Amino acid sequence: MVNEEDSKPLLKKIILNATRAALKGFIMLLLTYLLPTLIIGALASPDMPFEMPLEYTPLVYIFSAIVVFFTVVTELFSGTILRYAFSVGRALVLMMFFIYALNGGILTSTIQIPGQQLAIQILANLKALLAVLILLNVLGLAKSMLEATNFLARKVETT
Amino acid sequence: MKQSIRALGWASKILWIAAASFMIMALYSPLKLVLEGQIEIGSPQPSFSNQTITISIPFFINNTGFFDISDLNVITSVGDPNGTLISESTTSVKNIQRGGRINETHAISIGINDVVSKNLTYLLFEDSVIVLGGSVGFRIAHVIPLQASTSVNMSWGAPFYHPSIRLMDLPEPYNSTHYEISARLSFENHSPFDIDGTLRLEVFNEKKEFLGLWIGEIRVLSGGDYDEPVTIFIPSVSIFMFSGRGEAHVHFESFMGIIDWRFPYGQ
Repeated sequence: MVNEEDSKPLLKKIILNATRAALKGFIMLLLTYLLPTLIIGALASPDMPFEMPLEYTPLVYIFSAIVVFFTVVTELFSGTILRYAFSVGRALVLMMFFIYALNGGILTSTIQIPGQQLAIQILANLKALLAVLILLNVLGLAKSMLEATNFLARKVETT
Repeated sequence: MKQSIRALGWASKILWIAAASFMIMALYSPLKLVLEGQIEIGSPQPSFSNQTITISIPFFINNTGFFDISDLNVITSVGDPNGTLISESTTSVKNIQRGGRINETHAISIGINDVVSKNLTYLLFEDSVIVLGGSVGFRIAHVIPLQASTSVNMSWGAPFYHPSIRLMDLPEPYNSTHYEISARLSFENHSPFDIDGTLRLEVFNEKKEFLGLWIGEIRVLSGGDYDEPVTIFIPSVSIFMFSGRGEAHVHFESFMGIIDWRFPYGQ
């Protein structure tokens, strides 16, 4: 049974974690969704309308959702082992997302020129970038594992 | 362990920022050139030499992007609707440095011999569709290969559309050694260029026996018709072979090249 004196710092910690989670989640939403949308909107001009190909629009939402979700939950569970589990989960999910979103490194898209019966096929070979993104996630994964080990070691030391 | 975790964290953050910045800048770089109008394509200039039609397309690129553009390859192809490749041309530029500019010309060459050797002579007599393909490939920052390609169907007008020869009269004696036949040679020039050259018309009967010939200079403007009388002289010794029908062999010679074709008459 938790007494009143023990529950006060716990409640404080939960409120602090929730506030931090909300703040970081909002910053991530700003960086991963609102900012790219604004930049793409700014690129468009009456002479050269620029729109993101329709097939990639949901991927921006999904990427933003993954980043925001994992940022919020890792902050919510800050100070527990679950934080590191979610960090590892984020690295794994992002790796899979990048492989799927970049179609294994080969991106293709068709742009229809307005007012003309002309379609331009665009092909981008992003294998090198995909490799960098995967390596960065592996780095994140390693960091989370080390943090988890460190967390458990400290817990054992204190008990 | 705490220090190594902290170092790993900072390394991860710095690398994420660097990778994201590079990716955004690398993909925005070619888009910037397009949006700022730093890529210009001049009007095509046709020319004829050595039995080859050459269409030269000048282009200009001012690399105001963030990175070098390397291994630029401009490839164009010309084919018929059945998929037969008439011509393929490539222009390569090794490197356009950041802030640098280039003025190049892409030349599309179509040899008359290619048209003949690939069984595409029907394009000389029938209106059709020509499939023009274009592809531009390059590397941004020497790392990211990008390629844009398109194809356009263009209507093709035949230079000798619907050729025919109509015999007007029966052979009449011309002199003691020859007979003459009046005929009308006609065709339409649907092509975008003028026809100017020497035409040699040989007339054969149904058994492919040579009867006589006509040689003349012809000039037909683009979009114009040719419908002129021709007089074919037949040696008196061959007049009994004339039956009013057979095959006409045409040999046309101009600065563009030599074209031979056959078509029936008197059907």
